[in-house]
Amino acid sequence: MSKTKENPNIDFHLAQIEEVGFSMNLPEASKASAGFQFNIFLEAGVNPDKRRFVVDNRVEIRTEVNEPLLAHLIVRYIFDLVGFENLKKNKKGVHIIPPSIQLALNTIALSTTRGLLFARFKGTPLHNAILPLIDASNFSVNEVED
Amino acid sequence: MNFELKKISQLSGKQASVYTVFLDDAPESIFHRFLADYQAEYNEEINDIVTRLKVIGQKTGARAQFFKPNEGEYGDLVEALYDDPEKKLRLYCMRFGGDCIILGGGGPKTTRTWQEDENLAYNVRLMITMAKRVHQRFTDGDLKWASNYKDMSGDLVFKEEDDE
Amino acid sequence: MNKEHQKEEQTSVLDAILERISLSDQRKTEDRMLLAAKIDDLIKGRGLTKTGFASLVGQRPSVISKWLSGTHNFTQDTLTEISLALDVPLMELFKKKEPELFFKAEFSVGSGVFMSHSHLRPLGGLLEPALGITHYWHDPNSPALAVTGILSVPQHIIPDWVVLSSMSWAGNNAVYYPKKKDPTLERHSHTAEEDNYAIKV
Repeated sequence: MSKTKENPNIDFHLAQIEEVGFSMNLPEASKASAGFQFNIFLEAGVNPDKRRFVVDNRVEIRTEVNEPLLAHLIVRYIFDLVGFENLKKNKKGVHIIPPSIQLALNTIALSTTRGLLFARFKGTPLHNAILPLIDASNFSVNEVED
Repeated sequence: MNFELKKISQLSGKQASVYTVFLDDAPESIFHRFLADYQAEYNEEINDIVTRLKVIGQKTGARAQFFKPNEGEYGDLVEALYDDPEKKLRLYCMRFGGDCIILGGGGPKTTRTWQEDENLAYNVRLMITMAKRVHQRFTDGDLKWASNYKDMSGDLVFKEEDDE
Repeated sequence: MNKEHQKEEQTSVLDAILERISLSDQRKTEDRMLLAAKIDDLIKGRGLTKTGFASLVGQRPSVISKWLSGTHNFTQDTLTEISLALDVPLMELFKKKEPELFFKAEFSVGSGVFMSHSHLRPLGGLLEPALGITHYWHDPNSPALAVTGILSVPQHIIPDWVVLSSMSWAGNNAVYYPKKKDPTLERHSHTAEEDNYAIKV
């Protein structure tokens, strides 16, 4: 269970990891040299019915930004919530997630994805395609609008 | 062989971009030729194929499950749109993940393998040849993915003398 | 017939086909494909292969390929069997997956490790210090002047992408000091706080 200092009334824990998609393009991967480009997509949502956070993390790996896709991985992380009723809503009725929780979710997702990527690439031409350490507090906070 | 790639706006969408091929300065693309050739006799199949391509572009993306893989050579991404066993009209394409497809031609599938059918063999070999040159152009950096990873940008015109 | 007229002709072939497809047929095809996509997501979500799922439902893998192709017209009973095998309620197959989004981010990071035996200077072509961080470290067992690795953070100056990461080297500094003290060697400390670097566009 994770508690944050700002939000003592909300706990969450990682309940499920689902690997939604994966591909590896071996003919291209074997040409990969030293460096890799990681394109990262993160989306987080709340499922009020099931009282959980869902974080979708997609990582695409290329050697350069416009090169063919060497591999991709899509993972879904499901966090169960305790104290869901303590989440406030904005005027549009959308739940407001405290920044500290958002940061924790992103950090956990990225770190776990790093591990899953390595497990997948071990022993392949992409063995050294390790997702760099990412300071998740640098992300600009987006409020997703309908 | 010269050819040019063009995006089909009616079928492309936020999930995937759908391209067609104009061969040797022909006024119509291979895919449009395919539609024109078979829409009378295979009306239902053509309608189904066009609808499925539109759903791929706009709703689902070019998911692997909607295609039959490995129609070409290893790693060249040449595949066929999955055809219902009861509806035997086959369409060949190149598929770049879930994001982009380049449509080729096709025809009725009456034999067990495409190699046994002259028309299908022609279309598959055409696709394989084009695939080689498209891949080479990506490798050379003359073709790139746009920031949405669905559109190709760069030189979409392939002339025989360019790619020697 | 000139080229422009012919191009209009062939655009209208596709448009004519699109126009004559009934809304009902369109929806049927769309719904079949969306359902197939959902089932595929659920199968993958449970870590099953096609063969594994086939044995769960007692079918051949080729039947599963047909199911997932987006062309199959399922009976309700088959859908019930599928949902049982996937341990979800039947209605789950028809639910839109999107939860209420509250966060979205897209960004790009790069990584690169270059081996070099040159002297301790940034290599030509690598980035200015203002744009990236270059770390040097040495293998204590190798000759003093040999650089065993350079860790840098390439910046891809693409307007749509913001590079936000650093190569944080969080570890024990002592590992990276050479055994012999050489005044020409630079030492960089590698605490996580110093290494963290972000660019905002």
